[in-house]
Amino acid sequence: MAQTLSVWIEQHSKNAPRASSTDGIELVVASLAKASEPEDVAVLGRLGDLGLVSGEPFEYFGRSPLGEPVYICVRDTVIALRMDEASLIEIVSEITGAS
Amino acid sequence: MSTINVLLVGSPNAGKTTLFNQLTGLRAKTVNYPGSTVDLLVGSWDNVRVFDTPGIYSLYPRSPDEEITMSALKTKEPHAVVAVIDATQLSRQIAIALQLKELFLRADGSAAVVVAVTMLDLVEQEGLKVDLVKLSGELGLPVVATNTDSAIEELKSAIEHVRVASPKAGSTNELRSSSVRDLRESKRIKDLVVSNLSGESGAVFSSPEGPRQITRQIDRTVLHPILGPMLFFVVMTTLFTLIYWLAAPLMELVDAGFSFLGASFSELSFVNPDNLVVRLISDGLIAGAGAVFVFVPQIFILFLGLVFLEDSGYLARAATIIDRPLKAIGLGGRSFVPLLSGFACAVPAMMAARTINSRRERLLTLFILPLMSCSARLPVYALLLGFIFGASSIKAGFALAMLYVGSLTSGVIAASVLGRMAERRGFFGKEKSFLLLELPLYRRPKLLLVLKQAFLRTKSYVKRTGPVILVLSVIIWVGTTFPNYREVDNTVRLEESYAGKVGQVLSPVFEPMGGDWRTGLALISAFAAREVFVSTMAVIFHVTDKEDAGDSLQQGLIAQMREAKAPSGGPLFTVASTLGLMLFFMIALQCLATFAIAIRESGSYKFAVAQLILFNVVAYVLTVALVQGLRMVGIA
Repeated sequence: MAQTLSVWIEQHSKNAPRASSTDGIELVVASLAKASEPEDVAVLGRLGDLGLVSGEPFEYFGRSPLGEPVYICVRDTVIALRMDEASLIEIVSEITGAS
Repeated sequence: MSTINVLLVGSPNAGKTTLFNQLTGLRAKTVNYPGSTVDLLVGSWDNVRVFDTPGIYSLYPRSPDEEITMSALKTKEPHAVVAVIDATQLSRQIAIALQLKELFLRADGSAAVVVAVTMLDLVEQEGLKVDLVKLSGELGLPVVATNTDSAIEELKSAIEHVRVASPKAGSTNELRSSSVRDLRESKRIKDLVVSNLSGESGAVFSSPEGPRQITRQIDRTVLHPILGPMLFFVVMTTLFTLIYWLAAPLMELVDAGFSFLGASFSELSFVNPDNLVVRLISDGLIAGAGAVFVFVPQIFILFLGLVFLEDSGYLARAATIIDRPLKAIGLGGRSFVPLLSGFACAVPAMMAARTINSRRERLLTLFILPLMSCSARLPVYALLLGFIFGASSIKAGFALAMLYVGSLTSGVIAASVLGRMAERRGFFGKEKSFLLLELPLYRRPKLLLVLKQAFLRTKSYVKRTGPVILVLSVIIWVGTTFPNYREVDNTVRLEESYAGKVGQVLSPVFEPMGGDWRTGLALISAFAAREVFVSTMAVIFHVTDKEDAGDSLQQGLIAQMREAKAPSGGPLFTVASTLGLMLFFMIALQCLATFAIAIRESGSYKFAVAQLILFNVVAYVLTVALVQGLRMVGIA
């Protein structure tokens, strides 16, 4: 069952850890959204450059103190992104519900 | 020996600037990249010139900064390129080396690319090691470390070895249309070359004492829902306080130095003090240079603080904390540093806005920056508040705080209104704003490097503003001195000067805001730099240091202001007209150095002219409304 990262975060935001926790939750990129608008091309390109490509595992850490952006770790790099960007990332499902 | 050009290319935070310093020592300067406003750091050793480029995530540029790097690669005709790669992020960054190789690949399979691996010490602290020989074999490129002096020498000879004899423009290859393959390859190679101490390859960073875990521990506090914002507030208040209070005595020193220089120059006994050349130098050039350099201590401290926070890794976190409120008004986390810098001076602030990768956010930030209460407004506020509140420094302090609140509020309003208009009309570009911000590992900043960076940025500020302010100072000196330059009485000479005439012609414009031609003249001269308002007022109202011995210039001026009569016969400076002036200074864009930088940074005359006209017209209309409104309710 594929869903976007932003939807997943909304669903899990109650029990998901805030950024202050050390352990993240492991997720896997299913695919990046297709660019529905030309403005999305640069964002999608950058997401890809950062390593968010199909099949890529990454960790979700939580939301920033004011609720947005959210923090993820992909390919040894911690990245902050807004929910708008998170909505472009389709995830497979959680592998392990660590913490 | 002909000169050899070498470009350092790599991800943001990969350690390019540190490597640049290792290669070139402390000799470095910033150059303008041709056809753009971006500074490239250039340094040299022997006959090699090395350029530090803006960080990129791939060779497919997604921001103006990245486009600069790309066009530098294609047009700067490098003899060799150094791919700078962070050892803690190999699985992503090897891709950049692969892309660079592809870009410069020659028919014989070689490429003028050397791979320099940074941050190896951090990998070692994780209990891991990187097999550089294997990495070189996989990439088909020479690979060197950067953590020792001998490694740097090795890098230099590797560059000499791979470099092409004579680069030709357009000799680069076309890249494939996707970076996915490079990323897959990148991960495969990383798993081969990274191993733990027992030789097991494909190891991951997990040591509990490693820098990655330490960073996560620190982030527990820094990004904590309650502690995070509190820490943010403390850090920014500290920086802000340093900018103002630490810089104040230094600024006074610079100011006093230039006044002394000007005064002693004009009093040189062997030349006639009425000699026009002497007066041009002392009142025009030296005073103008003083106006430039008086802000140098403050701007240096600002840069010092920002570079320190940036190098430590905190600034990226701060940007993510403040992103939400800024997003609400159409800006973003990356707008934060420029806006904060705007409270020192709009010029370095506009230069700092380059790191905003969304064009719309960048232009919106550039547009509202002049509303931030820059420190050149402080002497003006000090004078006007001193006039209204006299000796009551508590009331004046509170009013000053209100002025800062007003500055922030006007910025928020301007950003929201303009942001919405821009979205509808699409004049800041249609592209979406996005935030994808990397949080680097925390590192202890290296003091010498921080100082050097702060120095270079300050130098760049002086180079940018210096000429504008100097030329304007001379123009205003000419305008206020001629035609009656022989007149001994300063006040009379000013009244009959060209600038005085302009002020008199325009006086119907200034009267609704509670002023007359004299206020107008002071406002016009403030276009050289806002604080010039105070010194012009001193000349207009005939205040000199000598007359009021023991009294400060400001108190002497306030006494004169109390006696000044408006054309109607009543007092010229009232509570209403003085409040009006403060409102005007809060909003108006009177700084032509800012105007000049706005043209360069926005890349558009129209943008800068629109900004200049809009802020001044709005300031004027609001001031007139305030003054007339206050008069209607009985406050003169």
